Amino acid sequence: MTAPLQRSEAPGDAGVPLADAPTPVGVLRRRAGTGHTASLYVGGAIAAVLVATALLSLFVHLGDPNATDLLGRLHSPDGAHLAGTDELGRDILARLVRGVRWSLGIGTIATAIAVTIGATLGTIGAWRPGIVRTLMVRSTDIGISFPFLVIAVVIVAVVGHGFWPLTLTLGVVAWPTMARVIYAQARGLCEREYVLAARLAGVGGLRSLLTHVLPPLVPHLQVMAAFTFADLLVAESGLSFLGLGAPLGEATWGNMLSASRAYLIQAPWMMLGPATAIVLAVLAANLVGDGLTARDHAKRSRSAA
Amino acid sequence: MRLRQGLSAIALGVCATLVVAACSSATTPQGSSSGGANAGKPGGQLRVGVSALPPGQGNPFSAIGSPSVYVWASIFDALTTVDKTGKVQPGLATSWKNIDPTHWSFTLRQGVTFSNGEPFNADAVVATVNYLTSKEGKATSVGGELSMLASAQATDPNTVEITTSTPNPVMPASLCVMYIPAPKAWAQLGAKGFATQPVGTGPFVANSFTQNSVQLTANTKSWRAPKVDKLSFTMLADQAARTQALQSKQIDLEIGVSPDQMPSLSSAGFNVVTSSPQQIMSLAFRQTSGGPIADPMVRQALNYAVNKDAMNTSLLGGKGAAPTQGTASNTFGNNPSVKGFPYDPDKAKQLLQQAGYGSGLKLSADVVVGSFPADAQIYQSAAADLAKVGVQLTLTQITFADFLSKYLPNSWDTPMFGLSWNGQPTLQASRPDTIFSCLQPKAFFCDPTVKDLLTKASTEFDENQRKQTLQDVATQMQANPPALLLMEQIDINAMASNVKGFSADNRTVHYENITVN
Amino acid sequence: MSAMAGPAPLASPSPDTAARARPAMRLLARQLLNRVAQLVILLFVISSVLFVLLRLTGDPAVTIAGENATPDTLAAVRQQYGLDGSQLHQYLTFIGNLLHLDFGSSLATGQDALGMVGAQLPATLRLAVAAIILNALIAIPVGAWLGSRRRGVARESASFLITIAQGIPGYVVGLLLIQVFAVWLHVLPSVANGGFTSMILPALTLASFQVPKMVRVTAASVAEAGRADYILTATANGASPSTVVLRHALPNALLAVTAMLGAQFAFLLSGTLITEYLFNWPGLGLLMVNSVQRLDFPVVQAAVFVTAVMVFVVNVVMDIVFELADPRLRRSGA
Repeated sequence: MTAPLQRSEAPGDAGVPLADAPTPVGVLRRRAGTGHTASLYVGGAIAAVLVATALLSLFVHLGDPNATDLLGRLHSPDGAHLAGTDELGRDILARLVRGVRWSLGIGTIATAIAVTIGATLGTIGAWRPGIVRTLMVRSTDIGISFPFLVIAVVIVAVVGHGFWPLTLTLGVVAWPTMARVIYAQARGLCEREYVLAARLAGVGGLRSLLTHVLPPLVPHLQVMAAFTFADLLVAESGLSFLGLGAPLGEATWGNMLSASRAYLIQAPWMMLGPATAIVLAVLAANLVGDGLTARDHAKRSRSAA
Repeated sequence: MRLRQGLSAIALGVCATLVVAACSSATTPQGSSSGGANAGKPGGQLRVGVSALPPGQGNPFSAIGSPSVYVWASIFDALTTVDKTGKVQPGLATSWKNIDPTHWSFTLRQGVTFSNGEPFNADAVVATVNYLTSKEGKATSVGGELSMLASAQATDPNTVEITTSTPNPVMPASLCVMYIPAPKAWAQLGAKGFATQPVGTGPFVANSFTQNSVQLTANTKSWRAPKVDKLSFTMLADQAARTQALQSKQIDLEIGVSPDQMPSLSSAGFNVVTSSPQQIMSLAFRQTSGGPIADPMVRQALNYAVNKDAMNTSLLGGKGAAPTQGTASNTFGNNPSVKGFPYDPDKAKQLLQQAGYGSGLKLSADVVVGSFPADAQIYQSAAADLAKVGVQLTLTQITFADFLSKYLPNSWDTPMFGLSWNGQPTLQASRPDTIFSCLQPKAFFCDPTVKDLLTKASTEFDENQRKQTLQDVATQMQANPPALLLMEQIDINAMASNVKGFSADNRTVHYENITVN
Repeated sequence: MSAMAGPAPLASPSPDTAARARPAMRLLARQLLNRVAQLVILLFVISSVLFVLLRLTGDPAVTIAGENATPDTLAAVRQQYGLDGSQLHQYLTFIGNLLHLDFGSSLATGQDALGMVGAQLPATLRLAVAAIILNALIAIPVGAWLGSRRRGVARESASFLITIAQGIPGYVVGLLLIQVFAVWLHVLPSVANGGFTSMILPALTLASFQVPKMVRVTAASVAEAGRADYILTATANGASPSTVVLRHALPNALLAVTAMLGAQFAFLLSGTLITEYLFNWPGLGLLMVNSVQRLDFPVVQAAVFVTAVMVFVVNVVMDIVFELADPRLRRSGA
């Protein structure tokens, strides 16, 4: 199924899936050969700010996200509350900060799960034909071709709301795409002469995998991880929006966005805060992904030249 | 190149095929163009937005209360209705008398016909009671609620005698949930068929019952003929979407408005109607399962710790009230001398200290939200108040289906859960009191004193005696609270300014009086 | 891509060409059969997994019986709906019924589950097609413009805006659209009412899930195509930039875009869950969300089944179309 999506870049290359096709910015950089600095650094900078906020909030009191104030409900942003207050008088900025932990936490761990499972199964499946490959290809067929939110909705309804159920659900839903892409890449790599030579020379399978196949895959993994992170972030807030995500009152961006629906007229800041936060985080992830893609292409076109 | 373009076209043609498939079998949801069709004349159409449609569609035995009652009140009638003061009013029965503890005689309204022409008479009532006492009927919601029914007999075309298996003093009130379907239609179609083609004596006839909307036309021959030509109900589960539909003039009447929307709706010219009191919101204590909440002192402390008046003022615009007991003033059996728990966090801390929880307490509760105005906020606010006295309450939101699967077998993972005291539609204290007592199957709370009192009241035909007994229950529940009472809730509905004549008793809307100009 | 094909092959069929065509057809037929077998296995696995998952969520009998149910009522309900008996027995009955596409009756309404799904499916398809068309109408021109620009302020800033747009979740876009067009301006309805105007906002919302990505893909493939030799030749021969884009680069880009549309169909269906919920659009997504919340097993299973079949069919068709289209793949027999 990936065949139609492959585009050849250079002879002997297994090609890059369409999803990672170079963007205009990336293409530009590659031509000029100067690199990918802008995307990568801007994205990285935003990500660093978010991560720093999350870490800082663990140690420093940055406002109480759960302190209700029934008399101070729905106040627009002012000196005391820089982002305004919500329907229970809670400080929105404090809740946004708390939400960073939740979103980053779920996004990172779910992505890590997806990458680990996907990369492992993809590589093993590519290594040699057999039952593992067949099973992997079939199960990723199921995984990819299925609308992920549908599966997520059903799973969350079963296992309940909360940080870990949500994380596991998203990780499980995301690994098939990862596995397929890695599989396609790894197939190409496994067929290269030096790998075949190593096998003939009797080098153990695992060693061969680790030294020859895995390292060239890393850039692809990084790119996929960045984009998967962005997708999962949106998915998590989507599930919260449908009422299937975080527990009641938990300060998560999706929850906040869902609650803001009823107050679009009286308190538009309730929507703007979490919307901005989500967009920033996703933007950071996409920029990093773009930058990594561009750098990878730059490296490869340089080496192919 | 040409091949490529050609195949691109084919691929896009696949999309076109989908279009054809989509359009050819389209079942467009029937709606209306904006604006009344017969402006200025009696007639016109009333479009109602509700949070849910009857799950059993047109089968009047499949559920009790809301959301079903909103639709069924336009199609069916029962022998009696209960008004908002708790008084039993005539419906399809004009009068009734108690012959002996297990026999009642009802005189029926004359000249009433079903919308399909069948006459309404004693036979129709007998057929209904026969169904509810049958094996299939007993398994329905109404059959379960009216389990005291034994049999019915038509003594003449306009009089029916109903027999109960045990003496039941509130039978006439209870019969307000027994909607009467047209007997021949019911017999012909069966429960499943009748659900999509219901026939009743009410002001409207249902033309179509889909999953998302119900379309009805006026039944001009009804004994309570309506003033509008058409009525429709649209399911808009999401509260924000429902209000948007009202604001963008896609519906004329919105059932279930959030209190925070009241000011902006009023200033935009919509008519906002609140009716109170309705049910009492609370967090029930699973005292039979032990733990810290088995101690009455802890339960009292929790009640003192929550500032219910502040919640009412800020979250319900002051239209609700801090509950004094499990019933409101309009319910039979309410005890005016029981004053409830005022806000006193110091006393709460003191009681917790005495009970041995001075250093704090961890509790959790599963709750369903969306049933009452601002209920999610009320729960969260209560949790914040409890935190101030050292009680960490973790709230988990569950769906109604999940709630039912835990509630019926009493198989919760948490020591508390959200449950309302529902005296509707009969407005008798005995009903909610029973739920919070040992008499409930799979009881989660048991107080032997209350059990004895309730058993006594259930067969007490003397009204004053019964009221006294039920008031004693309230007193006992003050000393040994079965729940953390949170709020006397309200119903908030909003309608366009051209909708006049709206009134509802216990959520039974009188659709026959509504006009849309 | 076309550069590698060289001059177009002659139309007259030689015995050689015919001989090559037959094995290709056989290959295609075998692949098709393969895919159908895959579909059957897929459906079986999904349905079984769902059966287990949904049974874990809770007891549907209580949902039907309601909160006033007594233990007797529950037992009667269980018997009536076939919910008594061991799980294995229920599972085998379920599989047996599945083989003749009988999903049973909805636990909420008592109507045929597959029928309910079928009744709401056209609404989703209409929305999906409208979104795809809108997507193409917006993404292709914008992407073509973007991809054909030279490096400069216009391109960089547009590129950046697209990246930001990609980060805005679809339901946020939906909320904003409702606020502006339905509540403030009163020009478009925010709730489905069967009319054409009520499809506009939901279609725009659904399209917004994918538009930024499509723009980038179109831009990338137009840019890629723009570097191909035949383009340079055309430009060297004096063709204007717009001719180059319209007649040479864009058709190739269209292929890529269409490929992506097929691959994105599954994502589109995910998007319909949220969009239909937002606008109360009576389609498959709304039915799915409501049924999951009500633990209405038969309907959930029927809905998931139908979704899987739809997605699979679309993917297979797209795959076949592109295997036929790309001469490199056909020649190499990949």
